[in-house]
Amino acid sequence: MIAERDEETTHHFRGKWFGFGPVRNDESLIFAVFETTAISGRRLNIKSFDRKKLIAAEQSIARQALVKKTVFENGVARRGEAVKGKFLGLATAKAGAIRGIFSEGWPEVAPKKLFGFGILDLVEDGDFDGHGTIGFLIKATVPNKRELGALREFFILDLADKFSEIHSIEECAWASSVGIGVARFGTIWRALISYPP
Amino acid sequence: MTAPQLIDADQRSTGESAVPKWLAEISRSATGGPRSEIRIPDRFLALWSQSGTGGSFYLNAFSSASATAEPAIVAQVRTISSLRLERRVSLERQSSPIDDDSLIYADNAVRDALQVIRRCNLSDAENVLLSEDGILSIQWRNLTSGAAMVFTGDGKIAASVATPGKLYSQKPLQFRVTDPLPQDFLKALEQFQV
Repeated sequence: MIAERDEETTHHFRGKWFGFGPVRNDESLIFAVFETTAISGRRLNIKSFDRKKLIAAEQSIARQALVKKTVFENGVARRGEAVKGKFLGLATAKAGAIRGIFSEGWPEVAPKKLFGFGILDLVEDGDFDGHGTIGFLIKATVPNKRELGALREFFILDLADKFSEIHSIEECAWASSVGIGVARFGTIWRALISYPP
Repeated sequence: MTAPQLIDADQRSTGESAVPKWLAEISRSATGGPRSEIRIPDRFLALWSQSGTGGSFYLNAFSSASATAEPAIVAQVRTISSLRLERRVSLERQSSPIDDDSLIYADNAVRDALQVIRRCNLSDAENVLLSEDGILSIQWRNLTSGAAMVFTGDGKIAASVATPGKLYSQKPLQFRVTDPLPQDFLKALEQFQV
């Protein structure tokens, strides 16, 4: 799960000088859909997401503005097809919309407003730099295990609704080399001004 | 993890006992209770004797069970759509891996769901999901809105409606399985007939 300050720091396996830094709210996130992904028509549903991955903050997404089409094709579509079946398309959602999913007034013991999800710029060895993950926030927890389970179901229902209809890889606006260069410069700049850590 | 187990589906899931209400009432009244004589006005009797075989009229009285008898089971018309949902819930239990310590909750959640589906004749849904911790979710959805019921296996249900501007997670209703479904929620479900 994701702690309060986790989203403010980078999670690139090589450190803060690499990757693109924390995910901003105005970024679009891409969810890849394969033959084995559960969907309802052209929409994601509650079964599209792996609850265990969400708890471990390992639900993979790609950051649309920071991934080139060729990188996505090779690093996600072709690679995923080996285990998940044919690549069918992708769905997109704004990071801000996902972070904005909250529980209100339920369960009774919970704080009045409880935000459900966080998004990390998690890049592990073998991932492409525009990789990220979605996960439940540690704060989004209630003591009663059954109520917690129900709360998470509602969060995932809302998460599925935040994604667009599934469309083809051609219909997506992919990153340009210039855009990626600017984003890399921004990462290095942020690392510089925060130096020493 | 424990291998999925079969939950005995009620025979009603086959539709065999889906008896129309009118037929159920007839059969109940025909199986017992004292006969009551109904007095027919003479003018009608006269007409009857002219055209029919004559004789007395006897009809069985309704609601003749004694106070000590078991409560009458009200048979309900079940739609095909509702029977389909019932079957999907049972199948979901059979096909879902459940954590060992959540098995009892999973079975309870499925039983609770079947009970409510039968009682309220809920129509088929877009998604039925039983999670590894034994929580059963049923979701109805159209292009702009949706409704969901979450059975937690502890005798409680959480239900919520999502519309543009309102999330499922916002202010769900919680009630017991034995409670009637909230009218607002039932009304919301009407728009998701599959």
